[in-house]
Amino acid sequence: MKKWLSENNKILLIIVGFILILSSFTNLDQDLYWHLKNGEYIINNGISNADHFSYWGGNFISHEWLYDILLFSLFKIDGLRLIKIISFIAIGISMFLSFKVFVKKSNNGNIFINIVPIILWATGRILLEARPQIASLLSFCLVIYLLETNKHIWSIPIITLLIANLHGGMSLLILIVPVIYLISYIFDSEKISREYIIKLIGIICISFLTLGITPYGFKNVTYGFTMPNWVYDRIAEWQVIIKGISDSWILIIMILPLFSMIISKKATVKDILFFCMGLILTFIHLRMVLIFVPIYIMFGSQYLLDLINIFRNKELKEKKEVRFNKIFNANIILMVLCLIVSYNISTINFQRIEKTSESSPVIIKEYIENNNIDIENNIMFNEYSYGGYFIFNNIPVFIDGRADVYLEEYGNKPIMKDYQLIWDRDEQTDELIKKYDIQYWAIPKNGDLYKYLTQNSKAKVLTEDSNFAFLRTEGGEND
Amino acid sequence: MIKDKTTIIRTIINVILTTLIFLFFLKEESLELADVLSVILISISFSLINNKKYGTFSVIFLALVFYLRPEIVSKDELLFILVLASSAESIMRDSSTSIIVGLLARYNILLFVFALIVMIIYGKDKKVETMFRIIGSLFIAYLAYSYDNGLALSQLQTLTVSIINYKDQLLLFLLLIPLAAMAYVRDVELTDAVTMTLALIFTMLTNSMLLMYVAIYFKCGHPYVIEAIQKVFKDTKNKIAMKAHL
Repeated sequence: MKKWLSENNKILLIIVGFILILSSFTNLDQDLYWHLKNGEYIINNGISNADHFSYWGGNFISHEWLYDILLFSLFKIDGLRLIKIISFIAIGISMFLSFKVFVKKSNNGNIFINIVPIILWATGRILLEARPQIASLLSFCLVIYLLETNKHIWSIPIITLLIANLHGGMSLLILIVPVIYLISYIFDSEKISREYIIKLIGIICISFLTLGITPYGFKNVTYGFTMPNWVYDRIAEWQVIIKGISDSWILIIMILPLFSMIISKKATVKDILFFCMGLILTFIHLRMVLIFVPIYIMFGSQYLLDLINIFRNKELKEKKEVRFNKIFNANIILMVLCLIVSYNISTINFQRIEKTSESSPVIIKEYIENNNIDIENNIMFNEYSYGGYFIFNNIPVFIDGRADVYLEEYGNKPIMKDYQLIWDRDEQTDELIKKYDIQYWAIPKNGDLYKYLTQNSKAKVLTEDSNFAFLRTEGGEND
Repeated sequence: MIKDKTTIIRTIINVILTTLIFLFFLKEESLELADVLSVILISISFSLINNKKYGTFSVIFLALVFYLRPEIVSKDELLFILVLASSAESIMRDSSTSIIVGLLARYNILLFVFALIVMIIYGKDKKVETMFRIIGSLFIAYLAYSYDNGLALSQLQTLTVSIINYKDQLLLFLLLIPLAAMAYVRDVELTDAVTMTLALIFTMLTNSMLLMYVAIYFKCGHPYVIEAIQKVFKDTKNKIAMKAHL
């Protein structure tokens, strides 16, 4: 134990430090609440194909059913605190595995270089909260660790089986890991026996088959491919990570290892494939930064060390050159860097995904309960993010984080489209309010919709605090 | 620049192909002689960068970029494209482009900054000369800005990134290919690596750099892509032969 601790003390130090920082500013994601409610429902009633939490009914594939059950079980033991602790432990283990792979591949390189990729997690802090993605993160790091160390690789199909039921949408990504290893063995000079290649092919085939061992078959894994593209434009974490000039610092951090791979002249096919895959996924969808950081640590950071070493050696050789050369180079580089940094320093926005609130709409929930408002029979329009909280408190919702329940593409009513039209205060808004007979509004205080409703006398405020407002449509119930 | 008969023939083929691609994507109702001549000039500029072995295949890259972003090929932008193409070619040939680089500032500040950096990279062996060129470019840029109030630095706020949403996956893949190929091939000139990486960074930040990226690809990226493809086939063949032997 003592030996293990002394070998891994630096890694553990960074992880503990990171988790302490993380615990000081993360909040629980609002979607957590509907996961809890769903977990409770499944334990009491079994898995269902129908939605029981909104006004609309419809189809619902519970593609994270196992995660929901585990989550509710933890909640029953010690509430939200235990959930948060377990999430941090899972993130900590993922980081530990990533660092172990880094240390192995870089021949005990300086692990503090990995502060560079970890900064990227600041851009998607929300992703490090108690969400099914944490299970995917852990599985992803574990599968790579097993393949790198060549230990217990027969457990990979078990991992894919678990992930197919914990977080179906990401399970294909876990399957891609051994495929990339297989491809890289063809091109890298690493000596691999034929028997190992056959074993790996077998593992990939079995892992693929385990993806279908879910209550919904392969549908649990493939549902994400039928998500309509316009939804990705609307949800912040599905949008691109580089949105403008102020994101140039993120871009440079992300591209740097690829440049370092070129300069080091010793990049392997495996490292190039993993890193490029991570880049493409993350550039397109911000939420993939969760997986990109361990990819960066395991397949990119070692080349940053090589880049630093190359410049160090170059400096030693240049000592004898004319002083003017150094001043010239340094000044030009400094000039360009100052230009970029001075522009960006005032516009750095670490949190790429804006949180709609730092707390839950407790005031609305309490008002409904204390005033015996018949919310079951009178439609309440709620903001997308708070849907989970209302579900948890047995309040039916207009919409919530389960996007597929509100999309025509999944055989349901086009609630998401209409929600977006109302939210954007489209010219059809009045018509839609009548269509759905919206009686109540649970929306952010001082948002554009709030202003639209109050300034045009379309709704009256019943209660509000600094973040949330509960309104009743003018001419509605009890008027 | 053009040394032998093969290179001349190759360049002519590239000019014809590039012109055809430009004209194909330039879907305008009225195309005058001046427009066609501009396109030919642009094609010559691009082709002069790209007169090496297998260089003709690089026009596929140009065609793919235009296919994914047809809006960047517009009659109104032809002059801009001409300045761009000639500056890219000139910068990378002999860095003697103070006026052209300075004029770039009038159209796109990021492009101007990028051109300055490329001038430094390719002029590092002639430091004093390069410094005077940089000063010259900055002066021309200042004049260009002052004339007609130019385009302010606030232009930076309105730049459109190249990768806007999930639909741009293929474009992103295309942009990453040269760097991935360079990493795989390993034996890469430092100037090519630095220029290609900077081009990627700038192109990701602004759509308007796409054509410059193509020009840089022609010069700095395409030879490595070809080499990477050849290496893939060679490595696969060797591995199969080795396994068969065992």
